[in-house]
Amino acid sequence: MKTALFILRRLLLMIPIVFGVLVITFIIGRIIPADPVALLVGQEDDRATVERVRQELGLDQPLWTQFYVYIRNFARGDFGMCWSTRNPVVKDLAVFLPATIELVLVSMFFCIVLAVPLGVYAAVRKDTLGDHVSRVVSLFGVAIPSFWLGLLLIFVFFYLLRWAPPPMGRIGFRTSIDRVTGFYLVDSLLAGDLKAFGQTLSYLVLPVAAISLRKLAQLTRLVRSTMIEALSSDYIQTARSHGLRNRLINYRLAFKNASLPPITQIADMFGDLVGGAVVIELVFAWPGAGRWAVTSALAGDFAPIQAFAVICAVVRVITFLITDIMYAVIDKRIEY
Amino acid sequence: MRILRRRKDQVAAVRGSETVDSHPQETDSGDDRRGGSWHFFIYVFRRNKLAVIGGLCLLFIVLMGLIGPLFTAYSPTKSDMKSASLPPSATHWMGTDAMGMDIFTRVIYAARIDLYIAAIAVVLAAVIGSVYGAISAFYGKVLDEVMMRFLDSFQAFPSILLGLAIAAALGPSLRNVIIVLVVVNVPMYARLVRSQILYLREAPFVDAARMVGNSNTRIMFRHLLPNSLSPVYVQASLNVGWSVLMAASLSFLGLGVQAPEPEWGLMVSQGARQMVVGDWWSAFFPGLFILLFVLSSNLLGDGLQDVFDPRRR
Repeated sequence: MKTALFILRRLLLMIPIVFGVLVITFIIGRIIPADPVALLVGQEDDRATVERVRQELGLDQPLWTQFYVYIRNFARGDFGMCWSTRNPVVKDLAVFLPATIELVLVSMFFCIVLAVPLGVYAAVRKDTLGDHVSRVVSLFGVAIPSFWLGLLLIFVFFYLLRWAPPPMGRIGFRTSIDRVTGFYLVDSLLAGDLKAFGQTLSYLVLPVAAISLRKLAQLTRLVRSTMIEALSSDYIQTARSHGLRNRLINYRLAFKNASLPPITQIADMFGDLVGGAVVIELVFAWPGAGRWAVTSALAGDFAPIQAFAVICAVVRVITFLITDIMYAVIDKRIEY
Repeated sequence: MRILRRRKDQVAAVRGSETVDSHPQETDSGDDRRGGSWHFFIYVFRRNKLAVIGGLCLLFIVLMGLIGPLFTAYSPTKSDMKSASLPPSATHWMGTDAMGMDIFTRVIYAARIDLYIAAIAVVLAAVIGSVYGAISAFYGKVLDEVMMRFLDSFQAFPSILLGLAIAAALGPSLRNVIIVLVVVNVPMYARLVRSQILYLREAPFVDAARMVGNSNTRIMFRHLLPNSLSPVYVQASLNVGWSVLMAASLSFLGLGVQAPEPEWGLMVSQGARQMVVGDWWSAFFPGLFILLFVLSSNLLGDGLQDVFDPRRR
């Protein structure tokens, strides 16, 4: 009951935050650019065209009305038009978003699967060679610009060694996958086409490596430090004196209690990676939502990046809610 | 007043930063105290060699930006198509790019621009954020709630996307990169200072200050704010590297500093196409300097964190 009330309260708290998100994007999109019309029609068009476009966009209305229309459209799932592709933004998003999410989810999987054992290892073997190596790797991982890392990977694995496929999108030109979900890994399996599945994987390797190194570094450090704290607590000493196996102590007892801060960071990771993916998508010509939003923005088209930013923000607010609930489930000591 | 000062020192001791006074002008026995903290400084840095290496490396990059241009005969923005895409050699230490510009020269001039962006952006963000957080914490209740929900909304965006949206709306330029970095960083400082002040507000020295007749504004700006700044310094030093990374990413995407200005991220993007055909140098060196700069400022920041907050050692 208490938990239900807590969830309800958290849900209500989401409303002002989402409202704020909409206010911010509205301000950025409508007020900051001196003249959105000029961005759209260009300099040389005559006054009549400018006036017509202004009316079409509703820019002759007072600001409050514009804001109301803006929110109403978002609530209806109408994010406006993308002028560079001449499609409604929603339609483009349905095409480009799966590419980004596939990249991000695979990166997250990769990060978690590597960072947890590495962090636990570094904590258990504190101050040994392995720990120092993991520290140095983490220091570099946090400082390396991901776009540069991506280019280096391309140079080494595509140009020099010729192991990787060309850095041009999600799949080779000659391969085609029937589009069902937009996730090529899923779609190729649905079609039973293992060759296409393998090729999708091979195209994923370099961008995933370039995106995730930073997150991998951060997560490893966090797992290490929370594990060190958990391992030094009394109940672990007791467990040891009772002769429990190390593996059991490390993973079942210590890690369970050390897992809360990493879970927060993993929840953060999704949003961060979607943001970080923008840069990598440009490096690898990955046909994702970030690349689409940035190329549209560079062409003076603001609607795509606005819609993308709002969606990411809302997704993040929801993941924070889920983390809070997970906290309550994992750590029984937390009461609401 | 003596009681008051002792209280303050105790509060500082609770926060584990008694040896580094954030505002020495308020301690009358200033000289020997400052000497003490200087020794402590050296002591901590001797334990933390990585921070020293980071500091020296950072100093090197700053010096490079300041006096580096004396060591090169080339112009950072003039192209010379006769010597385009030359590999590193004795005449062009880091080679030349596709426009025939000397990469070493451009990397040096870029250090100026990137350091300038990061320094201005971090200082502005820290100042604005601190004041925002202080107001929110001190006046409390409804105002606090509204101000904090507003920050929540800002922080709901993945920072690079918020940055991209603002940069796209403002148009790409050096000034706008700074604005973007300030907007993206302010919430962090605001939260930090707010939590510090909420904690300090209950301290007896605040009651004492109020009792002797200080006004709210005076308590706030003379007593609470200065006492809550040491974590801000640490955060700022850690933030510098991140800001350069972000500025470089924006420029890499074409939404930041514009060609032909030399900027590390922009230079990497200009060299990106050469990379696929094997001319590695024009993207490699500017990226290497981003890495070096971010790495060394992170190391220094970690060191400072140890000095200001021994519990985190």
